[in-house]
Amino acid sequence: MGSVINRQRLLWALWLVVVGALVLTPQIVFADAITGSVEKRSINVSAIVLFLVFVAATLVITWWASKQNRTASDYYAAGGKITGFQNGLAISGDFMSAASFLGISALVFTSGYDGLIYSMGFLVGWPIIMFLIAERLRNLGRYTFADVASFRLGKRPVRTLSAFGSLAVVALYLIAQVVGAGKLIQLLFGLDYVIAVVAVGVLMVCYVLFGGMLATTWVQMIKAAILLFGATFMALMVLAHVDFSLEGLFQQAVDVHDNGAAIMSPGGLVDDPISAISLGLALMFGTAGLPHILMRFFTVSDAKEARKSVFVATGFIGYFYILTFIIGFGAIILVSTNPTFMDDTGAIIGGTNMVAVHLAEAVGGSLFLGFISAVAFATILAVVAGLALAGASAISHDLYAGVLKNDNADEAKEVRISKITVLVLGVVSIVLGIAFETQNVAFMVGLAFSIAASCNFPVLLLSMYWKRLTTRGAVIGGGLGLLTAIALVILGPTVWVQVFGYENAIYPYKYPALFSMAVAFIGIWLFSITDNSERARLEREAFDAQFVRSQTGLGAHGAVDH
Amino acid sequence: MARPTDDASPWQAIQRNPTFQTLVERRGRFATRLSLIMMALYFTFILLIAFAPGVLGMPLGSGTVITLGIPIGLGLIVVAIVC
Repeated sequence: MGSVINRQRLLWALWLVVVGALVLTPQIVFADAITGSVEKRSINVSAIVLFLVFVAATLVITWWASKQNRTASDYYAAGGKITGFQNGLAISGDFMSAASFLGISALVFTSGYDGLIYSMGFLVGWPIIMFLIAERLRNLGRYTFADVASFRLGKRPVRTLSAFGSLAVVALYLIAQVVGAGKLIQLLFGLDYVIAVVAVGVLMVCYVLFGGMLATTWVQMIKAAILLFGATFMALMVLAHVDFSLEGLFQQAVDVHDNGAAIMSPGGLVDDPISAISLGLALMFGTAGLPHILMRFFTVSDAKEARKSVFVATGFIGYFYILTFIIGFGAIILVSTNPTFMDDTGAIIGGTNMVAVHLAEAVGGSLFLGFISAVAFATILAVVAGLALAGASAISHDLYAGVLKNDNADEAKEVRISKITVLVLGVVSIVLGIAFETQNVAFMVGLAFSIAASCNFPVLLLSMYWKRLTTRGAVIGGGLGLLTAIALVILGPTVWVQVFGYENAIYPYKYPALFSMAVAFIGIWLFSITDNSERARLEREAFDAQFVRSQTGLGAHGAVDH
Repeated sequence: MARPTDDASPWQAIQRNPTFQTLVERRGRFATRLSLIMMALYFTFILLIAFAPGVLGMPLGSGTVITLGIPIGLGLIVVAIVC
């Protein structure tokens, strides 16, 4: 009975993504929001002061968190003491990145209604997928998603694969974020690129090294709260400008927009369906395979709180998308008509991705501009801290404790190794951030999501839902998904043409997820069903025990269970 | 709740337990229903965009620029949150 329902739910989730992807415009990639060359602005004093206030507050929290942290569970999972509401806020913070705030409002600014469709495709799919995995994840795992994937399978091979999947995602995402941060800060604060990159690296290490998951979660929560506050204020000011009449808002926008009334209805959305579907798959399933987001589900006390965090996160993200819609329309009225935000050619200063920032100045003056700039910086810090912790956990918990020490590692030593890894990650991300300053890193975020969708996600999902999965299937299929994603990105237009400079791409589409996910799932299926070894039989037998635990939480690692 | 003991097949005992079966069934039904509602609404919306974009682009009344798509789109976000 249960498995029939599960299969049905899976099918629906798959359908949703394929159709949802059709509405995504391929040219809108959040990664592009903060790449490309930028001009340095004059030093923005209020932005820097407000940012320093944020940094001071988060460092106080980190100091407080360092007093609370004693055990490995405190370090990796905040001792399981985060509430569902807090965790939901933190997860929504992971979504409300600088790039999505600037990118979605820019999309609404340029094409109106299509921006709403874009946010919806994402909002509708993600909660259902998380709904499918959140509770089972919490019931089965301890600190990392590899705990869950290797629950009834061969610990060493599956942990190794999951750790490499995590590290690949973390490394690519981290470099892209650091490079993006350097450029954004150059633009917003008028600071040197190198200073910005070093500041991001040093603060990231501080949060994770001293405060562990507790500080990382609080930084993300504070950032989510101030971003929601800032966006709410901007939306309210826009609405006040039109006397709180939606009619007035849309009327004025239609009057001044180049496309006129066309911005009020769906426009031409799909110019390359394969890329669009691939991007949609990568965004939706990739998010459900990002190690730093999955890790958040272990910070709550039980499955009930994990489910609650999905609901809370969905609420905040939905509210945030509605705000960006109003902000985008507000920018049409207040930014596109104001010559102070244009350069000599009549283009928006800093590109259309800066419209939300310009709108902040238009509705709240330079102080509020400083506030929004500081929030954008804070956003990047919060995300990289989570990434660094996830990367360090993959090394210390999965590779050192799980693979090297066969789950018998000394806890204190495991945490120490994790902290050393964080330091190394900090240094590496600063060095690579500086090295990649002039490189096009847009492909890195796309690749990170594609790997998460083609390696981490299939193995994790099937380990929880498919009884016949075996170690052989998981390792070969997941490995093939990982390699296919990397190979197709290298052979595709973003690397083969833009980085290597060849004329034509061997693989014609920008995103690999459609094919690499198919390879992963087929590979896992094929090498599982043909696996008739004794080990495979035992692994399938262990599914019943895992299923009971995933449904009831019996034997799960709880807040008091360490 | 008591921890399962290490007898021959504690998991199978739990799986056969009617309370457990009810739990799994109810949870499954709840998730199914939720997904169904959401999917139905979302599919309708996407199909409208794909095959009849004019419907969403229809003004709500004469003398207004607000199109049918605005309340429907925002409504779907609200439904996603409530669900």
